[in-house]
Amino acid sequence: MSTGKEHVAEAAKGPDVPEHLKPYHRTMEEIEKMPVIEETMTVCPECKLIIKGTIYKDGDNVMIRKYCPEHGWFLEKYWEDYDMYMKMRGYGYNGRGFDNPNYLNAGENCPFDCGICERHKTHTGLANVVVTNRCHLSCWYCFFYAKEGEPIYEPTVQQIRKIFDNLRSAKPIPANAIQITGGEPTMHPEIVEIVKQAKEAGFDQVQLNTTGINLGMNPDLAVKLRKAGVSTLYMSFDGVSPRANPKNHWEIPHILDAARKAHIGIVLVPTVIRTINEQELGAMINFALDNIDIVRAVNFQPVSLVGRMPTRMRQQQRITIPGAIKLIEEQTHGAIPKDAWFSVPYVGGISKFVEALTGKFQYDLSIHFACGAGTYLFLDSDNKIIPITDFVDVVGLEELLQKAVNSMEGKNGIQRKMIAMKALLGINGLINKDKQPKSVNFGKLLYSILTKHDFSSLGAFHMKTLFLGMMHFQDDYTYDIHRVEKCDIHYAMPDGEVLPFCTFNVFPEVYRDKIQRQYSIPAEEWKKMHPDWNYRADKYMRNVKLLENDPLYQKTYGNMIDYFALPVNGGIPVLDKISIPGVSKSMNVEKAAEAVEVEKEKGK
Amino acid sequence: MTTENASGVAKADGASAEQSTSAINIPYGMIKRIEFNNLKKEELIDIPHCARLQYRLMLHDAIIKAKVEFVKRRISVIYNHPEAENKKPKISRDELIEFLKKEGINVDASNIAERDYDYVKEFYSYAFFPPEIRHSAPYGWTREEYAKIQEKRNRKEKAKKGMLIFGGK
Repeated sequence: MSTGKEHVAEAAKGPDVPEHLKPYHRTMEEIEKMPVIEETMTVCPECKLIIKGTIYKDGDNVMIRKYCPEHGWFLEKYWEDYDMYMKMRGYGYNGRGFDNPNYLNAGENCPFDCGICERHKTHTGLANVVVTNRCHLSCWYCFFYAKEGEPIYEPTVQQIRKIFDNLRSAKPIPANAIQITGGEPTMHPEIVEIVKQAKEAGFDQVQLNTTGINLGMNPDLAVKLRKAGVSTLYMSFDGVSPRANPKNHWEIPHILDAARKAHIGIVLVPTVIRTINEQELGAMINFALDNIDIVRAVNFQPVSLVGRMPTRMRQQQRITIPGAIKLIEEQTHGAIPKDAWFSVPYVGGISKFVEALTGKFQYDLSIHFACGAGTYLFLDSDNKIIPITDFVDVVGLEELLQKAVNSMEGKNGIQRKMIAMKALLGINGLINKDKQPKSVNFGKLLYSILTKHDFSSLGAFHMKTLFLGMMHFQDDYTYDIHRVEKCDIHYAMPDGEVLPFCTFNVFPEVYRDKIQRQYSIPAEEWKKMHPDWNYRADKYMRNVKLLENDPLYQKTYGNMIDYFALPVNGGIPVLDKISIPGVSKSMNVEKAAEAVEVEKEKGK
Repeated sequence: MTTENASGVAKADGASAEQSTSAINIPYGMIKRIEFNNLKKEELIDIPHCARLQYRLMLHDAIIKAKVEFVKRRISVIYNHPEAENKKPKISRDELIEFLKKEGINVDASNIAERDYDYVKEFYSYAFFPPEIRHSAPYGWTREEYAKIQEKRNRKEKAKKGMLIFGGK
């Protein structure tokens, strides 16, 4: 009988394997000798049998291996930096799930018991609600939209309001941030009313997950959406050049313009794929800095290789959170070092502190440490890029807050306040005032967050910074049940179920597509209900020449300052390898030199 | 009154029947729930195989929810039977049994329990109003401590309301 080891050993015989692919090309004897970090449960990518997964160290890489009795061995990169993995792991903790879960079965058949069950360990941090599966684009890699002839999923406003209320009734912590998504959500004819309903239901933060194209082409819609309550556009942005970002490169100038006029913040969302756009990470950050008046964050999403694909292609395209972080460090020549990044549950220290002090539930980002990471950048008045870790002892801050939480246990209200005061005074010692941005009093900002602990404090903090995030969704190959049971990005469905992102999208056949089909209308029936509708008319047609000749296009891409080319940031450009039609490569470097001159003049 | 959710666990009824099913396009009305009991452990194999069987059952569009319980040696399925009044895909009881047979599960007719299942009342309404099964406390507080501060807060809140009723500030 085959042990499944043969095909792995076979792969090991390949000649001249590049360094980054070597972990895939070892013999099982070699692999089994590697140090084991932890065990988890996972699935067989072929037959979905629940099997044991072993997370192990292979040089600088953290790998996951699993064995299915029917389909043999599977190896996949889990995390491309062992030291960073161990650092992030230190911030992991178990949060609280739902006090009113939908399923009382302890999730013994996890991940096929979702809906959400009592085993889940994190409340809804960001709720996704799909309002349509129609889209004006037809991207080759996307499986989120209805292709020609497929049923249309477009819930009514009444249905959507019911979903919103369901999310708000979660206990003990109701969802407070919502992302309205699709398809392309702006194709829902009642999108403005949907946003109003979200605000009425009580969501503080309303994001629109959009290509932005409909807003760029129709700025009035952006104004209406802002008035209705949209706080942020969560916008796909896969690169600065048209090669890396064929989806909305040409419309981006119009979208930024519309968002500026409507006062809507933007989160740029690049999906990072090796061999496709991984060379533009630094340039994308530069683009965000160049539009920091309107861009609040760049949230990189290392690609989730959902569905079957050839092994070789998967190995070549695979990138994990530390892989992207290291590329950013490399492309920005150390201006944004890998040490500046912390795992998302790091901020749990802040919510624990506030809860222990006030006795009130706070938003709790207790997700798995391997799911996300982030850092803050400050763009100072002299255009210097300052990562938060340059002037704040971030590790010390977490230790200080955790120590205060431990001391508060069992104490009365006054004693807790005294402990908190002492901790808050200690924060000043963790801030290097000589290195902090001249335009920011970080101690005051942090004090405000910890004492006011509301979204407005956080909002003020974000206005002066650029948040860089990483969110790596799982796929069949990297699947780790420990991760999914801590997921806080949930999809709320019309049948009342709430599903973690990585069950909803990794097993669409039993969750996303299945439930949406139940609540869909067949295309022929949809046509009868909407006689003026036809599939092709939904699609956006681009006039590239017209868009490239638009003054806004030149203003946005041609006037970009290359911040990393400034001496204050190391003086090495990030835009010199980016090719944009009609924009000279040296132009952005020249703009950087001009910016230096302007700053000098200001100084005088 | 109690209902059973898809997992087959009896729970308190969270809400009354949905107001108008047509207004919110609820796809099912009266469907069926079937239970196959006393299954052979050697056919179910173990929990991972039960989970995969549950996944395979769920691949059928006509199966709304399935639960395969290794410990209880039970499979329960909520499904859209051929006589149900809706246009969604259907599956018959015999087809279900045939499918299980192909998966290596032989069911005994005497161990089958089937009943009508009201999707709106038992599934849909329940999902929107699940009851609380526990009471968490904020970090740094025990449940007892938290219950006390909650009580205090409620008293303050009541007093505030009282003052408002009597015109106080």
